[in-house]
Amino acid sequence: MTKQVKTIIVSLVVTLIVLFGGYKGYQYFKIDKPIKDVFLTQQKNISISKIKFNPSSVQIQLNVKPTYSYIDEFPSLTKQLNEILGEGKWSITFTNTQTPTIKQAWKEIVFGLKEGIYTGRYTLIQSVTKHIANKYHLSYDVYMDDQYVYLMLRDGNKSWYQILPMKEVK
Amino acid sequence: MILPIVGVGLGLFLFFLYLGVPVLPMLVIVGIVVAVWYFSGSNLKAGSQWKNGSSHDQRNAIPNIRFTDIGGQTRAKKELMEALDFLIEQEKMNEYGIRPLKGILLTGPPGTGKTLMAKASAHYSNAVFLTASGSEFVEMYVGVGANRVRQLFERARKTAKKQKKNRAVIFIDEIDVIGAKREGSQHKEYDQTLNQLLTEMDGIKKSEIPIFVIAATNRKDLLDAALTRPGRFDRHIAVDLPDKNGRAHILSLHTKGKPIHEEVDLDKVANETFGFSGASLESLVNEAAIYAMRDESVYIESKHFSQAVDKVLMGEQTDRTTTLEDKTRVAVHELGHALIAELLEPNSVAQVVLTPRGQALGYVRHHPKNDRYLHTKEQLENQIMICLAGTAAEETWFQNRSTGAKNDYEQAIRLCKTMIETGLSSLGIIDTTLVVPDELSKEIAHILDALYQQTFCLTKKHHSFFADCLNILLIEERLDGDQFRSLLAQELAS
Repeated sequence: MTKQVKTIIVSLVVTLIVLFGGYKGYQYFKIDKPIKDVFLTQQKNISISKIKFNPSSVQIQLNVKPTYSYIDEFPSLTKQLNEILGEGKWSITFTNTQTPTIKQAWKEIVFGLKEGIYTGRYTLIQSVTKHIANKYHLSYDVYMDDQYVYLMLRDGNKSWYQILPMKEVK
Repeated sequence: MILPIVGVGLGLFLFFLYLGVPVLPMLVIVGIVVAVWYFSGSNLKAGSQWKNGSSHDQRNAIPNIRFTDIGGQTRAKKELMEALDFLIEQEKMNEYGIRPLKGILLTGPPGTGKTLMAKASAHYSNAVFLTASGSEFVEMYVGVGANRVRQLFERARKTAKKQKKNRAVIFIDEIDVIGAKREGSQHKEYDQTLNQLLTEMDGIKKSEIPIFVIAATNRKDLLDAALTRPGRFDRHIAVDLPDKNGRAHILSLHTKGKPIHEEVDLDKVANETFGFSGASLESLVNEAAIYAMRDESVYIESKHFSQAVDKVLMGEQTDRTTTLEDKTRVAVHELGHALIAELLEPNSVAQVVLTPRGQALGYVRHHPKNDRYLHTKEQLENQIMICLAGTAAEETWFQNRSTGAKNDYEQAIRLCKTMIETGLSSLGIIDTTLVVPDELSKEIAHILDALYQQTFCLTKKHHSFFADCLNILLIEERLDGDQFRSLLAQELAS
């Protein structure tokens, strides 16, 4: 192997170590660890399935136990996430399985819910959710703060959660 | 410097690819930047680090030439090999307390194989070998030359250390560019370069790695005395024009691998090529091969060598058309040369040719019997008579002269001057610088006049011979030596 090729390979390896090392370090110290710290307080009810990171956004996948009082406690966690990651820089999806009834109900609720957010007729969100939940005999809970709409649908002992950002829809 | 950047660039490229950043626009931008940098030549700033490529250890880059591949020059090769042996067998040298040689100066006319010898030295001495040309040290910026000399020697030492060798050889081609005599205050920059070279070769500063300098020049007379003194260039090896045996050896080397006809006698070709350098001989073989190819001949034959000798000596055959009158005059002129040459030096004419070649409209080719380095008065006079024979023949046949004999006169006058300078004229042994030009001129005229009269008598005596030969030469445009001699024998018999 000639000296030139060696030089290129060494500089390539060093560059890759520096870049990927820095990238993974940043991901661990600035993203993964703070997120885990936020959910540490709720670890009995919430488990983190996956954190997906790219330079423009962070996607978090959560699994929430049915016993968790989602509407009361989750809004405070989103505020903490906003402080760590920045507003609108993250999104949460839930890995809790949808029952066929919940799936059907969500298909109908989503129209009224998004229309309510988009048009600012927030009472529509409440009325549509109530109407559809009752139609399918599901228990529900819905809440909104200045940034997100939180929705919980329960079919028997299975719960399903949704969090929708108000700004993104607009 | 550029290599780590390549590695870093590649790393960045892979990283961005991993992140999903579009890399195509980046590649385009990088391509444009590299192109601008490359073509603007911004990487070659004056006085900056000397381009590394020019003086790296070039042993591997040099064609595989050995001393056995160099024809002739036995003495020069022996001396050079001996000097290199000192480098190789340092222990033995220490036993005898021999001071290592600092340098060797190869001198001689162009094309005699000085550079070839340096290349062979690279293979012979298993040392770090750097080459540079005198002109590489010259730049319009002051101090650059000296800096480059320093860098060259420094690099030789560093490379030797790196390769764990205890010696280094530097070859400087055309050293007269930087090693010219220091006179006046005209070329301070050249002086600085030379001073640096002198200091590096034998200065106060001592280095643990001895550097052996081989330099080549064909203008030894121009070199500064400080450079040619012992301790700098200890030995001056004259790489002269090859002698007959040398020429034969060179020809045998160059004809290797070429389809030479078995009838071709290389010794004969060597005999006919007195004064040819190694380069001319190489050119000769090449031209002969070209002639053979033109003829679509399977082998390179004697006639191709003969044509090639004419080509190298006289230039390419031209298709200049001449009037019959001019052609007749040229024929008579050349026959005059050939007649007198054959009368004075029998068997010397090789060919009489009437086809224009180079600047000449016709020519007579002689074959020298042996390489001659000394000439007697008689031989010189014969040569002058042969030169004047063209004009004498014209005067015999046409009763007038022409302008075609200009070169003959120049050659004759040169020979006259040689006679005067060597004490072979009626002036005796003289210092030509102390003689009045008028007197020199008179002596030259006297010699020429006397010899011309003799020549004219001979041509007049053989007037009828011209009539015999002229028609054949005008038709065939070529008379071989043997053919010419048989015609002359008939003439002499009658």
